[in-house]
Amino acid sequence: MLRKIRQDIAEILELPLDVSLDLPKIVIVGELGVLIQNHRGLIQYSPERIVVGIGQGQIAVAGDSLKISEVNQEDMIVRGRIKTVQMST
Amino acid sequence: MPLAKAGYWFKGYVLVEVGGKNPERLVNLCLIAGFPVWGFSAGDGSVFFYTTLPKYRGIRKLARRARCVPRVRRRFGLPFIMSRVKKRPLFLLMAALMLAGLIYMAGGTWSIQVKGNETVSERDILSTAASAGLTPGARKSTLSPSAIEAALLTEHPELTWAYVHFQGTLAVIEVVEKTRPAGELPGDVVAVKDGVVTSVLVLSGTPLVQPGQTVKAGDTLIAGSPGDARTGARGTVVALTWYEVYRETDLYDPIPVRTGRKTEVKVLRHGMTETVLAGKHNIFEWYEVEDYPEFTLFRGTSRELTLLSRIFYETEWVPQRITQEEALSIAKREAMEVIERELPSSAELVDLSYETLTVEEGVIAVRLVVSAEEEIGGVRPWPLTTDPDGG
Repeated sequence: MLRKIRQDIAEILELPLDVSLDLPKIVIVGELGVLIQNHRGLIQYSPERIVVGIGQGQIAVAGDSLKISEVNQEDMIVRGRIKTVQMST
Repeated sequence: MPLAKAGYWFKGYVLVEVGGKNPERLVNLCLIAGFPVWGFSAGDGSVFFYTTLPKYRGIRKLARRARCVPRVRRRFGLPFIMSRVKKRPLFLLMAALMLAGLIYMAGGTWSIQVKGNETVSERDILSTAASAGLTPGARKSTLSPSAIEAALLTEHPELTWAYVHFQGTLAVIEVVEKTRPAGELPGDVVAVKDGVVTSVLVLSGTPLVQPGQTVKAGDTLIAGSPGDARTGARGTVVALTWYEVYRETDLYDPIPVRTGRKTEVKVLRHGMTETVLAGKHNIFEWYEVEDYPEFTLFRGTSRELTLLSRIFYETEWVPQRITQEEALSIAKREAMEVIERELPSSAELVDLSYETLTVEEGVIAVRLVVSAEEEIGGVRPWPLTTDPDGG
C-alpha cells in the first residue's frame, strides 16, 4: 500500500521510479557484461552463475568465466560471457 | 577507477583467496563495512579478490564472522617493493650508482662524425675540432658548438658553412665546402659546334669572328686576356647550324594472316584460374585466339564458373606492300623524332627540307635537313696551373 502511494507520488512529480522507489537498475552490455545498480548483496558466486539480491527478489546472471570486476554498496559490474540474465521477485 | 587503482598501488594491495562454506557472506560484509574490494574470480571452491593492504586486517576479522579462511596469495604495490629494497640495501646502492654512471656517461662525447667534406680531409677537420676542445671523451657541457664552428671556418677557408650538434653521445660535424661554378672559371669562348655566325655579343674579351663567318667546333670565338689581369672572355655567339638525319623504311610491312587451320580447346574458368578440359594449347607457332563462352554458373559472384570454347587460328606473316606515301610518312616521322631529341630547346628552327631516295627495290629513304639558329659559344677554361685563384 505504501509502495503504491510512493509510486503515485513519483508519477505525479515525474520523478525517476528507480530512484524514488529504490528499485534495481540493470544495464546489459551485449554478452560482455552486466551492470547492476542498487543491489542488496551477493547471494551466490561461481564462474557459471552469479546471484545478486535486490529489494524484493534476486537477479541471476548465467554464463561462462563470470567475474565481478567492480563492486561497491550500490553497483556491481559482472564481466564474462553472459548467457542469461533473469530477475525473480 | 584507474586513478583509484593507482592510489591503491601506492598504499599496497593484496590478492586474497577466501575458502570456506560461504565466501559470498564475506563479500557482503566487506561491502557493508565499505572496504574496497574488486576483481572477483572463482576457482577450486575458493573466491579470489583484491583489497588494499590497510583493510586486509579488517577483512580477517570479518572472515571469522563469515566462517571463512582468507589467505594472501600475492602482494602488489610500493610498500612491498620498499620492504624488499630495505632488506637489500646494496641493491639500492648499486641501482643508484648505475643511474648516476649512466647520467655521467650520457653527458660525454663518445664518438665524432664528419659529414659533407670532399676536398678537406676528415683528419684536418677533426684536428681543428680537437683544438677547439671537441675530442672523444670531452664533456658536452664544457663544449661550445658555435666556437668549434668558428674555428673550423677560420682554419679552413675552403669551408663555407659548419654546424656542430650532438645526437646523444655522438658529436656530428656537418660542413659545406665552397664550390665554384665551371662557367665562372676564366677562359676563352669557343664554338661547341659548326655553323655560320649570325651575331656576336661581347661582354668582355676580344671578338675573333664576325657575322657571316663559318666556324668549326673548337674554334675560338671570343678571346680573353690571360695576362696579369686574367680576364676571361664572356659573350654570346649565335650561329646558323645544321642537323641531318637519314632514315630508311621497308615498303613491305609483314602482317599476320590466318592460314585456315584451327584447333578448339574446352576451358573451365573459375575466377582467375583456368583448367583445360579437352584439346591442346599452342600447337601452332603463330596463332590468334578467340574465346566463345558456352555457359556460366553463379554469374556475378566470386564463384563464377564459365565453360569456354577457345579456338586457336594458325597465322603466318605475309609481307604487305604499303604505299610510297605511307613509307615516306613513317620515315619522316622517325627522322623528325631524332631531330627533336638533338635540337637544344633554346634553338630556333629556321628551315626544314627533305629529299626522298630509293635505295633498292622495296626500300625508301628520307634525308631530313634542318637548319636552326642557336648559341654555339661555350667557355673553355684556361689550365688551372696558370690560375693562382683557381684552387
